[in-house]
Amino acid sequence: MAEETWFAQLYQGSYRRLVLTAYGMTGDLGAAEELTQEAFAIAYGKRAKVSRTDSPEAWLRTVVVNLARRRYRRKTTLDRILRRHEAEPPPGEAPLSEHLDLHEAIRGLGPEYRAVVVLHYLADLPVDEVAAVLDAPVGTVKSRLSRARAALAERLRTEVDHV
Amino acid sequence: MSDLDTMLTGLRDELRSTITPPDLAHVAGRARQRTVRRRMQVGAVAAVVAVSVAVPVLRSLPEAAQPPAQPPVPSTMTFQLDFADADHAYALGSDCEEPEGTCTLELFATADGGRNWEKRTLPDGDEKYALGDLTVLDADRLVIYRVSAGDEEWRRIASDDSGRTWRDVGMGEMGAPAPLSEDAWIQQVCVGEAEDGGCRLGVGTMSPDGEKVVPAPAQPPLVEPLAGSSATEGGRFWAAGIDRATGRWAISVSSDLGSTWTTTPVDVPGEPAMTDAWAVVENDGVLYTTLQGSIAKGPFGLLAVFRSTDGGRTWTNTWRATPDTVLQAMLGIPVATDDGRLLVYSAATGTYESSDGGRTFAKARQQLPGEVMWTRGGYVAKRANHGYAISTDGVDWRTFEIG
Repeated sequence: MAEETWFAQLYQGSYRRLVLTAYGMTGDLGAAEELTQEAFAIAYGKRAKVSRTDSPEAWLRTVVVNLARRRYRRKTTLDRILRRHEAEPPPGEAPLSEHLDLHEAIRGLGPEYRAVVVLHYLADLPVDEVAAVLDAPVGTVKSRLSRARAALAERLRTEVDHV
Repeated sequence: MSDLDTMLTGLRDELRSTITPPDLAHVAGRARQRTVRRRMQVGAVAAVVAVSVAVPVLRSLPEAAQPPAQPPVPSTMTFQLDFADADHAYALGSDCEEPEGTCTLELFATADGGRNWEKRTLPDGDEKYALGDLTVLDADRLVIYRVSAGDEEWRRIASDDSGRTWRDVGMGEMGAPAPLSEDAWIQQVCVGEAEDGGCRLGVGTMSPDGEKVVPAPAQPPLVEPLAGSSATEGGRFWAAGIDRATGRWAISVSSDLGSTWTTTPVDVPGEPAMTDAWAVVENDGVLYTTLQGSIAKGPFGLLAVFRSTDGGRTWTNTWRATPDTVLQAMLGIPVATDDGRLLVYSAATGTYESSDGGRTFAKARQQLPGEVMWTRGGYVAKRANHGYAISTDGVDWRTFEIG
């Protein structure tokens, strides 16, 4: 397969999953798209090498995760220097008509819980890959998933009760 | 499947449907512009840090022995290259392991316009770094920012003797505003506190010893001005950004070393997609501005050309893209040649030229050697591998290779 065709297929096939992976790490859909495009730009410059890896998408995911971690560290450093408090994720970049309540409930979770939910349920990563991405034990991921589900169910029930 | 699972699946599908990958040409263009953009990011962070961090005590690093000239250069190494003048240039090489993103950094120097290069020894040169950034202050002075790969610790080192010896310097204490020198390296600097408590970015330079950030005497009235890194051929400094007063994109030009700025709004088609999307070049008193980006997530390329014959007081939009006529994957800056042409380089379609003041473009008779940047030594084009070419008139190019 021609190199450009192969890369275009990888791009079209995995872009959305990787954006959602980055979303799980950052809680910001705009930043997630930015990181994913950066990861693909890196991969494009090394596409001959990437094509020889066992899983180009896993290669890209590692880049996305490293970029997200670097972004987080840089941001926390600047926040500390500027004595800024951690900002809330920006208001919904993507208005989702049918699932607005659930989306808001997920955004309201703590970062650790939001990450496992987004990575597992929205980015479709198996639990062991979520654990690898977050650098956490599998048992911790399962426990966070369980608590996050309970919290989501509770928040959604509360909102229904308030209607 | 529970109700929650059904809702999660629905949300996943809906989120995916809202995410639209930009055109692949956008990624290709971005891949080639990563180095410049990373430099801008580093500069911005450094500018922010500059207002809040005290300068630590300086310490001299031991003088290092110099290796022999013309050293071997790894084939996988990429360079951040800058000229201080026609003869003196420095190249910070990064040899990175992916996907980890950890890099080995090496510095090379030339004093004869790139014909011969010598490798310099950096302190802690065997360590791995997440990022390296080079600022060439003048022929002998340079500053390197490095970010350790492991703990992401920032370190800034400076040299006054062409990279032979080094000392640690702080993140750049804020100095008093001062006129820019004609050959100044321009960067974003923090000139005060923004309304959101962050940094209000402006235009400035670094003091000759690399230890202070020096704002220009006056600031262009732009939100986060994106400044050209050195003066144009006619000695003008420029910046582009959103005009604070009008909320429109505007170009600011200073013809008096940053003491006053002439700011003119311009009408922009589509979205200027990257921090280094704007470029201003000059030849014989005629200024050209090009803008790169994409229209509605379409192909990445040249969006517009503006021309000024009165030092930036008025701009004429000579060429404008539509979704069908984007000159795709334009890279680097344009070249305003001594014989009156305007050249733009595209990795996708080759070099195009305009002989009517930027109104129409046709395939160029003579192709540019590669993506071009403007330096204090003239136009520098990136060729294949470690090859470059340099030109002062945009017509005649001399090739050279690092290493």
